[in-house]
Amino acid sequence: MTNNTLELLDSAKHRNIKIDTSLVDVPHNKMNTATVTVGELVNLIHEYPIFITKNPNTGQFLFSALLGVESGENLYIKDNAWQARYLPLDVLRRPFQAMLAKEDDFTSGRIAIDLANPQVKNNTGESLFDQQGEPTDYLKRIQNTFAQLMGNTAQNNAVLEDLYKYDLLESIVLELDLGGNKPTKMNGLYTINKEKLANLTGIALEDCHKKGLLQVCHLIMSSGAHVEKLIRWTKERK
Amino acid sequence: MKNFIKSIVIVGGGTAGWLTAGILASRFPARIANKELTITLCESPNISTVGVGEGTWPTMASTLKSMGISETDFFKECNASFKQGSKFVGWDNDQGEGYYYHPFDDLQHSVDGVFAEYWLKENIKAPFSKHFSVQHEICQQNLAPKSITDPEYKSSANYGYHLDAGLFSTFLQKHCTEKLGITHVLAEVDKVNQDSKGNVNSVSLSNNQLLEGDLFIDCTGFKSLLLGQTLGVKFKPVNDILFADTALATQVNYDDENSPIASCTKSTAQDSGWIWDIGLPTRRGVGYVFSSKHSTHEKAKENLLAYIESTGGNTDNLSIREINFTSGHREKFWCKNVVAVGLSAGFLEPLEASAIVLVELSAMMIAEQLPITKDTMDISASRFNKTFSYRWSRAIDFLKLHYTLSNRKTAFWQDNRKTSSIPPRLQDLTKLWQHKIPNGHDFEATGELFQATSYQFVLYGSQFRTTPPFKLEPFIKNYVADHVNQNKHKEKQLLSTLPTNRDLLNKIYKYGLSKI
Repeated sequence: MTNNTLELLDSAKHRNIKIDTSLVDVPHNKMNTATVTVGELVNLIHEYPIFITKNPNTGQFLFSALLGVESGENLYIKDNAWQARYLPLDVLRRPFQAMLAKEDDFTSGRIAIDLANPQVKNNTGESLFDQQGEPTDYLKRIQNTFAQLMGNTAQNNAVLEDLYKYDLLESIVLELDLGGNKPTKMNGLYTINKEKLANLTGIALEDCHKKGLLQVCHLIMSSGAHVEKLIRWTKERK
Repeated sequence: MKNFIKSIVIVGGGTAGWLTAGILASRFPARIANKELTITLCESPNISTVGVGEGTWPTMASTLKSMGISETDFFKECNASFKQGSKFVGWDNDQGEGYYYHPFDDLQHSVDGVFAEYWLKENIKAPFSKHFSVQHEICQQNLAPKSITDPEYKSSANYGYHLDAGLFSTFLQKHCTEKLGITHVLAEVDKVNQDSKGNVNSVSLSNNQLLEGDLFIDCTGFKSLLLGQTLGVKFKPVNDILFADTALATQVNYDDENSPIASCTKSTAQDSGWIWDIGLPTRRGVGYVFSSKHSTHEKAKENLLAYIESTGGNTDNLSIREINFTSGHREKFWCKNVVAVGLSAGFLEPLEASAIVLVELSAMMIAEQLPITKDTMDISASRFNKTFSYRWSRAIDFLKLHYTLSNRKTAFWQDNRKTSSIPPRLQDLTKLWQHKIPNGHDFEATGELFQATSYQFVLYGSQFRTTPPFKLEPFIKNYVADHVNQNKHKEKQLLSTLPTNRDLLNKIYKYGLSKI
């Protein structure tokens, strides 16, 4: 890890640290995408537009919830509150991060805390450890969040790989009319190729059905409507 | 029915043979599947390929793509790396000082030449290539033209490849035989058989097979078995223009697995020629191309070793191979039902990596002009010959240009500047360019090997200065200044985001590039 504000979680060292979960509008939540796992889609599609993006370091595909238009813009945060009922696990985990034992190996890893996140405090908020150094319920929930995130990784990657293999992904340029002179373009996004999906037949169709890909495709396609909401929010804030 | 062209026989493998096979087959997949066309490649199991053409043009990306090749596989199996142009080091003076780039960047406005006009009239101090192309600085920093998130064959900057020619042939062979329906025959050609009109109708093979064909493609290398030896088409040497006739080629190891991989071919001027330096992921390919009339073998070897040492390379246990050649080409390339592609058609020193691109262009034109019937063969042949006579001559002009712009004083360079050695067309152009910037109208609109942009990079990278007598139009000044600003902005952004060649190649090995 290059980020030198990260520390591996330690029951002695971080005994007295508190996490102020009431702080939402912090720099560490200012991002225009959040990585999501396939298991979260069924909840998230009701509130977020879901796209596929690429991991900038590896080029591998990821499911992403679109949170804003500009880089570093999170339209879901308003007046220090999150404008949605469900939050992606990738958001809920903060200010914690997984530190993997080995690069790209999601089977084992440890939790680290980002001390630069303003949610990390000494006085107010949720404790991480009790007086005996045991994890509090709060930390257990965080641990559970990471367990879900990491447990989902294998399935997540398999689904993305199959979507790619069956040629069901397509690169798109999202053109948003935000009221400026010309539409704002968003690159680096992929979505489901409707035509290819409709043309699946025979063994391929059966395989996609069995693997749950068809459901994933429909979930993602149905989430596209939320882009309108992002446009509206952008205009409202101008 | 027997008048239709239904079978193509390629004699000889190597880069030329397999590229031609692949390009032809990918143009006619339906005809091949329906058995309306067969393509057979016959090669000797014993002949080793020359294996020096290690640099391609950006055309190769679309060539590979059209053949249905995965770029990831290509990088992995051919030890390929990214090439974004050429860097000419020390071409101006005997001290070997200075350098210029001829990047692959396709500059806007090469047709009207306004960038060059602006650069000349405003007396810009920054080098021409640096001022207008992001690739100058990208190459200086050994950066890749793209990132791991860019799909196969897509990039932020134009690129071709450096590759291991031997591995490339094997790779293409596998793809051609497994995916494109090419029949592969491993045997020696014992005899070339002709009909009464002199057309080649078959070759007798060492395995007693008689391989018949309607069209024969000669990829037999320097020996030009079909076009030269059988049909007697003469070789036209141009060694009175391009003096180099010998290459000493070797391979240099990197210090370690993290050593930077250069983003361009480096050509460093020497007393009697120049040294190529091509960075593959696994090793560098280095060689001295020189004129044996101007340097002894020993002296050339000494220069080569000195160069390798000066670039940090280890010269212990180097194996150096001598390749002798005569620059030139056949008087025609397509005669009767034989067309030559690759070294059998001709050879020029690899100064601008023209060898592989000429193979691609030849194969493409054969595909485009493939006659339907035998009795229309001559029409295709004459079109092909006209086009390629032009292309070879222009390539010769452009290579010669590099030499004429030098101020080096050794006999080799002085001789290169003698008017008697400069083709008349190049003399005319140089005269024209005293006051007029080379632009698109100086060249054929289509099929030109080296466009006006390339001439501008080489002329103004060298000391040559056109002096347009007129003032710069104010709107041009503003317009180009805007462009320069945009270019600076783009450069800054790319320099901060592009990985090094080494990093990107390692990521490609690990994760692959996706197709979308």
